[in-house]
Amino acid sequence: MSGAGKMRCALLRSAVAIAALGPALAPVLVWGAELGPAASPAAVSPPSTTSPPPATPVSQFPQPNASDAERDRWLLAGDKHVDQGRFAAARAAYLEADRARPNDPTVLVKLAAVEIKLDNPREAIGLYDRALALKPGYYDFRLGLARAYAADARFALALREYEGILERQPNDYMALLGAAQTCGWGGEFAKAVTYYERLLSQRADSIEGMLGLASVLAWSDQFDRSLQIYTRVLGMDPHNREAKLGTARVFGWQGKLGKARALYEELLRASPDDRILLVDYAKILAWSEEYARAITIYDRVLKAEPGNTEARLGLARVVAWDGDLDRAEKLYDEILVEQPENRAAVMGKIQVLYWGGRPLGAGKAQPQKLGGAAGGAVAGGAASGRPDVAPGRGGPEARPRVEDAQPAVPEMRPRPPAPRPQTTPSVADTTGSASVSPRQQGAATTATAAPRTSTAPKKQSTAAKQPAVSKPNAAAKKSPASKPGAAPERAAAPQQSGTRTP
Amino acid sequence: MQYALSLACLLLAAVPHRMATLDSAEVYYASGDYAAVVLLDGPAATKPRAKLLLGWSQYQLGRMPAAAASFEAGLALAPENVDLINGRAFALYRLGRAVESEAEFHRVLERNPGREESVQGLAQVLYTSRRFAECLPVFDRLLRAHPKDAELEHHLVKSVDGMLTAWNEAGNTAAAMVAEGWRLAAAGNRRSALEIFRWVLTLDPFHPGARLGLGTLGPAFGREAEARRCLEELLRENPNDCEALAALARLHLDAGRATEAETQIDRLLAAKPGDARGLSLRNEAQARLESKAR
Repeated sequence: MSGAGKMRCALLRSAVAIAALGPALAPVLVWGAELGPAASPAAVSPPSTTSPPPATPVSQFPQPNASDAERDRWLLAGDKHVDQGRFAAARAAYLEADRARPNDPTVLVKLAAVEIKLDNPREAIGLYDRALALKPGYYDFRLGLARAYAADARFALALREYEGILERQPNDYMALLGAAQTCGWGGEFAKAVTYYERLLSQRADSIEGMLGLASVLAWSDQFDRSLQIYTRVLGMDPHNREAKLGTARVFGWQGKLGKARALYEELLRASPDDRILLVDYAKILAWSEEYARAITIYDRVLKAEPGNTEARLGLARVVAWDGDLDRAEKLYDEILVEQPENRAAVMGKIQVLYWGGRPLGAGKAQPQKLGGAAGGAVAGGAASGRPDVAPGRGGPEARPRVEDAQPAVPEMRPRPPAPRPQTTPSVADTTGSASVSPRQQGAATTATAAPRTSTAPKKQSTAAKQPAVSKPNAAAKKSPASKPGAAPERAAAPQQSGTRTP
Repeated sequence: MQYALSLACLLLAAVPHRMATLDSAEVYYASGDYAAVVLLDGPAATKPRAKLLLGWSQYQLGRMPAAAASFEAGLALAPENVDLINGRAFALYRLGRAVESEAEFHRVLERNPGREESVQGLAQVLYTSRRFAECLPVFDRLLRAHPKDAELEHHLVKSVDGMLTAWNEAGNTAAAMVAEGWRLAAAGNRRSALEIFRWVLTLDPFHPGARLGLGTLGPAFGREAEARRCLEELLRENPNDCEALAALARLHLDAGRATEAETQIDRLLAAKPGDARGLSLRNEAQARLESKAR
């Protein structure tokens, strides 16, 4: 056979062989000259003609809108201001965005968030209402509205919003947390505990849930349970500052001043200039009757931050307990010039007048001068003619600020891991929900204005038995009520506080 | 299959060695027996086709340096062979030599612009090089050819995400992203544009431009309900938003709801009398209604 004949024969045999392979060779036959598609890693299916035809000619596409660009520029500027804590400037920028594009839900809620930061919760409520009118039932807006209500101390309305969300999403973490916090701020501790427990049944490892529950339990005098939870948190996160601070506070309220001091000192070693810690620590020192040290610390805080109301009140209180009633009165007066309705200052002044033998009505302070709700409280105190709060009881402390439960900006992005909607108090406590009892804030005020609850009746009566002329120091030392463990502030109804700064 | 292979092997046994080897390699390659191809072709491959088979077999076996070498050996024999250039491009891509790989893909596409495999390869190179803006039109083009391809869709969506995340971090406004969406749409890359609008809406769920974009392009990609909601929301915020009115009228018209479209057209023409787009939509709606009546 010739070479060509052999070749033909070979090809024929090959063809027979290929035919015998049948389907196995189909890809080879389909390829033609190209080997790639079947062999390469990016094989694709055959071209299709089912691609959707353009529904709109390109010429009919909308043109970029100049007002959108302006809106976005102002929003971006506002967001930057918010990041830098310049809320007034942020508001101005968001207002420009609102001007560029009125009725824009994003703009409205960003503005609302800033209004809360600027302590204008009512403005925020209006803005959230507008946003909800444009987008009824929108989750983020409802959450924002609830927070704005809470910031405006309208806890029932806030709770209603949270409950509305929970009706549709019974296990929503943020709504459960918000409802729990709101109940705590509203003094409905049992309900708060229920919400926290619901939350923890969903997310047993939620540290913020545990911290919140621990604080509410502490506020409702369930110190042992509270401590158990703090201990649990510390087991999970041994460095958790909020849990340590909460534990220190509970020790303080239990009267275990040595333990409280040790914990505060440990915390202060880590953050020696933390004013919140310093103010708390000074209070423990005052309760331990170490007035001079307490005064030194308050002075240090006030040197760094002259407007720190908690420190000013604490200082006035300790100065009074130390017997310098004139200076204490002056300190209270200074606060009252700036904050005429500061109930703690009003009550402190009443005490000072009382201890100085000048019961209210006979002295300098006039109810009308004090004004407002505080005036009412004063009037109540004056009617009894004697303060219910014994010296050494610790005065009002700040409550958690509701505004701090807000994320910095509304949740416009794909939802990030849940922001910490925590209750970082403004004046006295930046450490979160765990720590400050709302009771403490209104303590001095409500101790007079409101009937005491049953938590500390003995102390109250003991304090009330102190002779009107008794020296504050003597009273503090002699009266069982001076033991911080029985702090009357925990008997006060927090919602009556006039100094609430949510 | 085993019987067929055995039969083929028996038949091929009588074929002259070189020819039979090549044919066998083709058979083994087609049957997925890449090791056999390497065994057969390894020492004997002297033709470009044999090198191509060998290179792809090595590629399939994960032997990338050997694959690249085989393609290069083939290219030494046939420097303009598009298949070999393509193979080399893929092998280089897998070797992490993205720049050379991209150049090779471009060489292939210069010679054969419609070669889809190479288009995909180029898109992959651009994607893994995080050059999302460049690969978006490529994925869009491929997706137009294969609208049901989930992997392509995934890559397109991820490219939009990569591109806009970088834009966002660079401080660009959402409006700039929306403008880019419209630019891509005007170039025919409407799927990319739609994904841009959707991405912006994850950043700002009420962005007016993005809602208008989704409202305009959504229906063509099966998102009519979402598109309609966006447009109706825009009109709740600004009842005289002519762009939203026109887009909603178009949405209704394309869905065969001429009466609803007419309502929006009336509103559009009331807000902007004599608007050319409104008049054109009106003519179209009336024509639809008349044909329906007939």
